[in-house]
Amino acid sequence: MIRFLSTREARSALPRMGPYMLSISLGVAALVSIHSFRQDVARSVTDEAQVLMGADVRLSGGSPLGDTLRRAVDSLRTAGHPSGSVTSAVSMARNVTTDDVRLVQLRAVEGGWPFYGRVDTRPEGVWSRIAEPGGVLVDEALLTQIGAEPGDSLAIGSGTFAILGVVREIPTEVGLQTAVGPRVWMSASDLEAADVVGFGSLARYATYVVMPDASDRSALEADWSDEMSAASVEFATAVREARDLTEAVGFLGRYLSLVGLAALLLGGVGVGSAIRVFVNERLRSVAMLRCLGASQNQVFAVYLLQAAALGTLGAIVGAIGGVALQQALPHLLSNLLPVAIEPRVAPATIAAGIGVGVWVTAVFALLPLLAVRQVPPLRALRVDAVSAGGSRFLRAAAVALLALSIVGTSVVEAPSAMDGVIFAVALVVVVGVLWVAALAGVRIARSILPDQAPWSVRQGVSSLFRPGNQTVAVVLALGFGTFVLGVVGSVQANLAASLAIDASEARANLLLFDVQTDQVAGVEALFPDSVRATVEATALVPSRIVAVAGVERSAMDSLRWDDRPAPWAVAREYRNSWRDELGPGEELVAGAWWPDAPGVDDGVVRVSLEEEVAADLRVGVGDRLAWEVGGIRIESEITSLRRVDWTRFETNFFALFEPGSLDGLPTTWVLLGRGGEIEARSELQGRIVRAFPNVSMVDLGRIQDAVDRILASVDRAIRFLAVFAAVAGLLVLAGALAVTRGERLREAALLRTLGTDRSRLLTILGVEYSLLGVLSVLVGLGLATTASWLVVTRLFELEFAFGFGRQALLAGGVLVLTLGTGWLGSRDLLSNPPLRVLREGE
Amino acid sequence: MISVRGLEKVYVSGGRPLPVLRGIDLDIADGEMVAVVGPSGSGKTTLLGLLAGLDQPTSGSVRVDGTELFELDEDARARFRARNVGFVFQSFHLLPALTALDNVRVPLELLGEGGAQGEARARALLERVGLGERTDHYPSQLSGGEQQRVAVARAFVGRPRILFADEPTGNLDRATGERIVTLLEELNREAETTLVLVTHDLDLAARAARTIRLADGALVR
Repeated sequence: MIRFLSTREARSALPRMGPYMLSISLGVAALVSIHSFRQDVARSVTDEAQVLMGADVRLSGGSPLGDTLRRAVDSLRTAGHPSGSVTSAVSMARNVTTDDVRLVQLRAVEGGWPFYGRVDTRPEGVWSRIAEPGGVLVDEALLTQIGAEPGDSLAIGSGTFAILGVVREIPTEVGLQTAVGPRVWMSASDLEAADVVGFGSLARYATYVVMPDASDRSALEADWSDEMSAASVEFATAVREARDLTEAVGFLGRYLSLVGLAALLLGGVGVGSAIRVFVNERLRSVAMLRCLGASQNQVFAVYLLQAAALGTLGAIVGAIGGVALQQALPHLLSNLLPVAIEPRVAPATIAAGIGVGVWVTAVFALLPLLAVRQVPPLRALRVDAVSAGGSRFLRAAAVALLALSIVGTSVVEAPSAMDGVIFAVALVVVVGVLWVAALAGVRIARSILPDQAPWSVRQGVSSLFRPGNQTVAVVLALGFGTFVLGVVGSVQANLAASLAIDASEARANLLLFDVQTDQVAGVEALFPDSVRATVEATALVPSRIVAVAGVERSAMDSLRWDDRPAPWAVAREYRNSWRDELGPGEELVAGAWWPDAPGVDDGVVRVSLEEEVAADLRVGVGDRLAWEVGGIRIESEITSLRRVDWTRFETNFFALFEPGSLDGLPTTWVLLGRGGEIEARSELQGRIVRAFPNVSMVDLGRIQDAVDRILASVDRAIRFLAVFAAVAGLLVLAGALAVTRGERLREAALLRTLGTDRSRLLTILGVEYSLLGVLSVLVGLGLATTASWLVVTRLFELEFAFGFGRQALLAGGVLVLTLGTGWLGSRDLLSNPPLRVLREGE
Repeated sequence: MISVRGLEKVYVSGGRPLPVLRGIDLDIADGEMVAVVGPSGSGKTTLLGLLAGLDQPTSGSVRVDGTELFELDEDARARFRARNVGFVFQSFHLLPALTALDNVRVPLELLGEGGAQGEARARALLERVGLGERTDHYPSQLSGGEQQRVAVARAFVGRPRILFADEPTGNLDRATGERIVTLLEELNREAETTLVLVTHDLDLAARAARTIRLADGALVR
C-alpha cells in the first residue's frame, strides 16, 4: 500500500517540487565535485611527488653547502645516490639585437637534475645540452617579451649566451614561483661566467639527491640535522612536500565544500517549506486514507517515502552534475596547480554525496510531515475537524535529529571538528537572523504601510501573508545567497586592495637591486634629469644573528622552551640597513630614536627592532644582539622597538642601525625610483643593464600584472562556488513560486474577476517581489558586511573598506534577479482567463 | 439591460470540438432576478462566465446597457466588471491574506473609493450581514456560512448594477443557505440590482421572477 501510494502521489508532486529538488541537486553537485577533485589532486600530486621535486631529497639555503655537508653528499653519490644542484638567482636579460630587457629568474643546473620526470622542450631534446657552456634554455614568455627567437643571443650579466630553445614544461615549479619573471636555465659554469651572483645578491642554492628509500632519507635527516641547522640549510623530501601541497589544496577544498554544504542545507530548508504546503493540500487525501483504514504510521510513511524518493532523484541529478563539474575544475584552477590533474570518477564519493542529499531532504521533511500523523479521519467529512494534538516527543526528536544532522555534516565536511562546529553555529546564527528578519520585516512592512498607500501596494504586501506563503524560505535563501556573495566579494576586494601597488605618478615604479656601493652614483646618473631627484637609495647589509641576549646560537637548544627564540627569527638571513629618521609606515612603540636613544658601551652599536621579530626573538629594549656581517662580529644593543606597516609598498627592515654604525661593512644597495611611463621605463632599464650588467630591476607595474593574474585564478575558483550559493537561492525562490502556484493562480483569477486590470496585478506582483528582494538584500548585505569586516580586520588584520559601488551592484543584481524570477514565474497569472475562479478543482 | 445574441462556446477536447453553448438568445431586464437552472454539464457556469466577460465566446455577442463586452479587451472588461458587476461564488473565494473588512473593501479599492467613506460602507455592510463583530477576522477563522456572508457583503459594496451568483448555497447547510438567499433578495431589492443566479436548487430557483432552463447547451423553453 505504502509503495503504491507514494509512487503515484510523487508523480503529481514532482513538477511542483522540481525547483526545490534542484537546489538539493546543486548542493550535492558541489559536494561531489569538490570531494572528487580533492582526491584527484591528492592522487596526482602523490603520484608525481618525485617529479615535482625532480629528486627525493633537497638541501637548500642562502649559501652554497658548507664543506662537511658537501662531503656528505659526495659520499652518498659514491654509495649509489646520484645528486645534482640548482642555483637560483635573479638578473636582467637583454636581447642583444633589440636591446629589450627583462628581469629573469636564472636556474643554473648541474649534475643531471631533474632525476625524475621529463622536461618538454622546443626543439625536442635540447634539455640534454643544458650542461654545455654558452647556451641557455628559456621560458616561452621571455621570447615574446623581448622579441627574441631560438638562436638569438641573450646578454646576462657579463656573459652572452645563445638561446638553444624553449622549455615548454618542467613539472617542478608551482605557478606562483614563476610569477616573478620568466626563467632562464643554464649551466653552473655559465652562471659563474655571467658573474651575476655577487655579494649580497638574492641567490638560493639547492642540492638534490636521489634517495627513493624512506629509511635512507630519515637516516640522512637525523645524522646531519645539527650541521644543517647550524648552516641554515633546509631539508625537504619530495614525499613531505607533496603531502604539504595536498594538504593545502585539501584544506582549501574543505572550506569550499562547506559552501556546497550550505547550498545543500538551503535546499533542505526549501524542501521543508514546500512539504509544509504540500501536506496542507493533501490533508483531505490523508483523512480519506485514514477513513479507509490506514494507520498513522502508514500515512506518515507514504509521505516520508515520497520526500526521500524526490530527494534521491535530486541527489542523483546532483551527483551527475558533480562529476561533470569535476572534469571542469582542473581547467578553472590550472594556474594554481603544480601538476596536471586527471579526473577520475570516484564511486564512494558519489555514493556519499547522494547519501547526504537524501538524508538532508528526509530530515528537513520530517518536521512538517509529522502533521500528517495528526490528521483526524473526520477531516474527510468536515473541513473544520480539529487535529489531534501531535506528540511532543516526536517533534522534539525531529528537531534534535535536524540539529544533529546539521552539526554532523558540518563536522564531516570541515577541515577540523572545531571548524565544523563553528560553521554549524555560524550557519544557524545567519539563518536565525535571516529568519527573524524575514518574519519581522514583512510584519513591519505591513504595519508601517500607511492606509493612504495605493491599494495595489497594500495588496502586494498582504500577498506575503497568504496561506502556505514561502516568505521566510525565500528571504532565507535569497538573503543567504546575498550573504555568501557579499562576504566573498568584500573579502576578495579588501585583500586585492591591500596587494595593489599604487601605480600613481607620485610612487616609485622601478626597483633596482644588487647595486654595489661604487655603482650607486653611476646608476643614479642614468635616470633622466626630470626624475633623478625621486631616486632613493637604501643600503642593505646582509647579516646573520649569532647571539641573542648573550646566548650563542649553538647554546640556544639548552634554553627553556619559553625563553628560546623562534627558530625562524634566529636562522633567517637579515638584510639590515640604517636610517636617520623613521619612515612613513613606522611608529616607535618602545625606547627612543637616535640621537636621543640610550647610550651604549664602546664597541656596541645601537639598533632598533621591529616589534614582532623582537617578540619572536624574546628580546626587548636594553637586550643585546650579536650579528655576523661578512665574517665580522657586530655587537648591538636594542634601543627602540618599531611597529611597521608592511602592507605599504616601501622598503622596511626588521633591524635598523644608527647611521654610521655599519660603515665599512660589505653593503649592497636598493634603489627605488620613478621611471616614467612603460616605454621610458624599458628604455631606462636597457641603459642601466648595458652599463651595469650585475644590477637587477623589477618593474613594479609588471609585478602588479602578475599578482593580478594569480589573484584572478583564486578569484575564479571562489566565485565559482559563491555562484552555487546564489543559484541555490534563486532555485529556492523558483521553488517557492512553484509551490505556491495554485494559490497564486486562484488569487489572480479572483482579483481579475472582481475587476483588477493587468497593470494593477503587475504592481501587486512587483511590490511582493521587490519587498522580498529588498528585505533579503538588506539583511544579507548587513550580515555579509559584519562577517567580512570580522574576517578582514581580525583574521587578515587589514583595513576594511565597505566598497559602496560593489555592494550597490550586488544589491541591484539580486533585486533584478528576484524580480526577473518572480516575473518569469508569474507570467501565466496574467494570461490565465479569470473564468478559472468559477471552475473548482482545476 | 443584458442582451445576449447567438452566443456559442466550443471547447476543443482531445482534438475534437466540444460545444458547450449552442446559440443562446436572451434578454434580462434591469432589476430583474433570474435563475439559471439545468443539470450538471448543461453549460450554466459557462453562460455565467460569458455574461460577466470572464471568457471569450466562440461566436455571438453580449451587450450590457449597449456596451458590447467582447469588443473590449480583457483590461477594459476588468474595469467594466469593477464598475458594474458583483459576484458570489459557490466556494466563497475570499482572499486568505486579508481580514473580512479588507476583503469587503477590495471592490471599492479597485474603484478608487477605498478611503474612510469606503471603510465605513464596508463596515456597515458587514454589520448588515451580521458580522459587525468579526471585521478583523481572517477567512480561516470564519465558518463557511460566515465566509459566504463576507462574500455577499463584498458583492454589494461597490453598488453593482448586476450581481452574478454561482451556486451561492452549494457549500452550505440548508439553514445557512436560506439565510444567504434571504440576504441576497433583501439587498437586491434595496439596491435594485439585476440578479443572475445559477443553481441546481429548484426551491431557490422558484424564488426568482424568471427561470431560465439550460439543457445540453441550449435554452429550454
